[in-house]
Amino acid sequence: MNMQEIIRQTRAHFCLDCGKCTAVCPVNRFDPRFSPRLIVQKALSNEGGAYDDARIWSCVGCNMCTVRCNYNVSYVELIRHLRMLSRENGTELVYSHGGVTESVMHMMGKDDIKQDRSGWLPADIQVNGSGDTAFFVGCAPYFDTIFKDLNIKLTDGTIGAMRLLNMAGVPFGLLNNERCCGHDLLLAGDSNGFAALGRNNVEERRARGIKKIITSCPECYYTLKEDYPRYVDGWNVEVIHITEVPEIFKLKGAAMKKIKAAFHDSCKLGRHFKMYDGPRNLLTSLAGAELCEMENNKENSLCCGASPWMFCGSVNKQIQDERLRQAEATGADYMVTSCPKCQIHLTCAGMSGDGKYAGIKIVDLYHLAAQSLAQKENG
Amino acid sequence: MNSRIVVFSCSWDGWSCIDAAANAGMPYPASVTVIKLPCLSGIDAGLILRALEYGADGVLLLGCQPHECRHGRYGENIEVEFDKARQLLSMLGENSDRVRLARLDAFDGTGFIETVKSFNAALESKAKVTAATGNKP
Ligand code: SF4
Ligand code: SF4
Ligand code: SF4
Repeated sequence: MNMQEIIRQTRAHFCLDCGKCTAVCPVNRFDPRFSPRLIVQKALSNEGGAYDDARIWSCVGCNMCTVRCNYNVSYVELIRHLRMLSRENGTELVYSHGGVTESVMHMMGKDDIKQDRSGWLPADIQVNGSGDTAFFVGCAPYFDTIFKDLNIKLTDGTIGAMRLLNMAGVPFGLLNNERCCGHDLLLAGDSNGFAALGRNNVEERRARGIKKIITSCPECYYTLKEDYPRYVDGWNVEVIHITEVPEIFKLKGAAMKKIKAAFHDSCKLGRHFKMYDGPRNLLTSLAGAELCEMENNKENSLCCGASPWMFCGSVNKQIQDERLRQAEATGADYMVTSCPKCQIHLTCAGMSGDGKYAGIKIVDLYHLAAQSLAQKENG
Repeated sequence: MNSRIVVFSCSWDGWSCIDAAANAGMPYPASVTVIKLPCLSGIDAGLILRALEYGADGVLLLGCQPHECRHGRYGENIEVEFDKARQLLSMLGENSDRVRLARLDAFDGTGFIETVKSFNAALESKAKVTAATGNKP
């Protein structure tokens, strides 16, 4: 796509140079040199693209700016396109974790691989292979290995979500050779890598006759629902988030001892889809928790502060520290999130610095809810 | 046909073995590329997978015996990242034996040559099975 098309598609030409975006941007708070307004203006100027400006790599994609912009300039979309152009022009990137997440995503994009990705699945989870509904797992099984140093198990959340569906009597199958949705490759401007994953997921869906996908990961949900119809041929799937399954809310939990939980909205489920109440209802009615709101919540929620596995540095750490402090300030027992990546980044931030964990334990929403229901059933 | 093997070698005992082999004129396949690092503890699963993603058939990590590590890391980091890389490969449906870890005593040129040759042979026999059956073993 050329610059003019990008400007049109992202509505950047509506920008009035007002600076609201920069005023609310969490990255700008800790690094004043980064300004979304200036990047939009640079993209609009005639001096060539803004894509060779190294600062385009600092945006964490939180969508705060677009929510505030009176003209609804799609900033995250603009950044993705600028990053694509930048990569096409040979920009060298600095990957976090030695680029392991990117390599895994690229290797998953190969057409001929046969993954062995269900070793974590407990025997009591009922998976129905014949229906036309699949549960989209996401990369939690890979993250369990990559981030085992953080002492967290991301599949606990996935298993929790599947248990809730089982208990609610909602049948689902699995895609045995499911690929990563590609969210992070797209945000990193890697259009070829994303296309390879998308093409293979379409094949998987076709081979199994899947018409509907349920997922619990906010970024899978966003990508499969918003990006696949636009960028991947032959998708045609109804994608729903687990908090949109009404049967789940008929379950009765609240057997656990009363806990206090601070809920952390993920940027995608929150600001993008404005799905604030579903996860909170799960937390209070199923997990039986007392909800504590952080200083920044819902539309103003603070991002977990990490870019797609690259250029993670002191600014990201400062955003994360602030978020953890906000959670601690509520006096809650747990900081609860519905996003595996938020859990990874925030746990990582809490661990670094003095090498200790954050003062508050970060847990997955579905894990907590399923645990609470299981305790009730066991009396 | 020889397999493309990338060797990540530490600059201490690992490198001394390669050096000893070279000085003694012992040949090894030209498809072996050696990359020298200060210490194997600097390796991570990402670097290993990158080499494979970019076309290597196998990755050999070559370093000192654990108690000889000059950087006092005793290799703990190496094993964690080595295991991670193997686990990720298995999940991806790839042969996890495409990554090997060898710890040799200093100046063991013969040991290096044997390690590389046996790794090459193992990779090639897997490649033959794949070519014959169309399936990855
Ligand atoms: S908030 Fe919107 S209109 Fe204002 S400077 Fe930012 S992009 Fe432009
Ligand atoms: S998406 Fe978030 S981090 Fe990126 S420019 Fe907008 S407010 Fe800043
Ligand atoms: S915050 Fe996230 S991206 Fe940054 S180092 Fe930690 S896990 Fe990696």
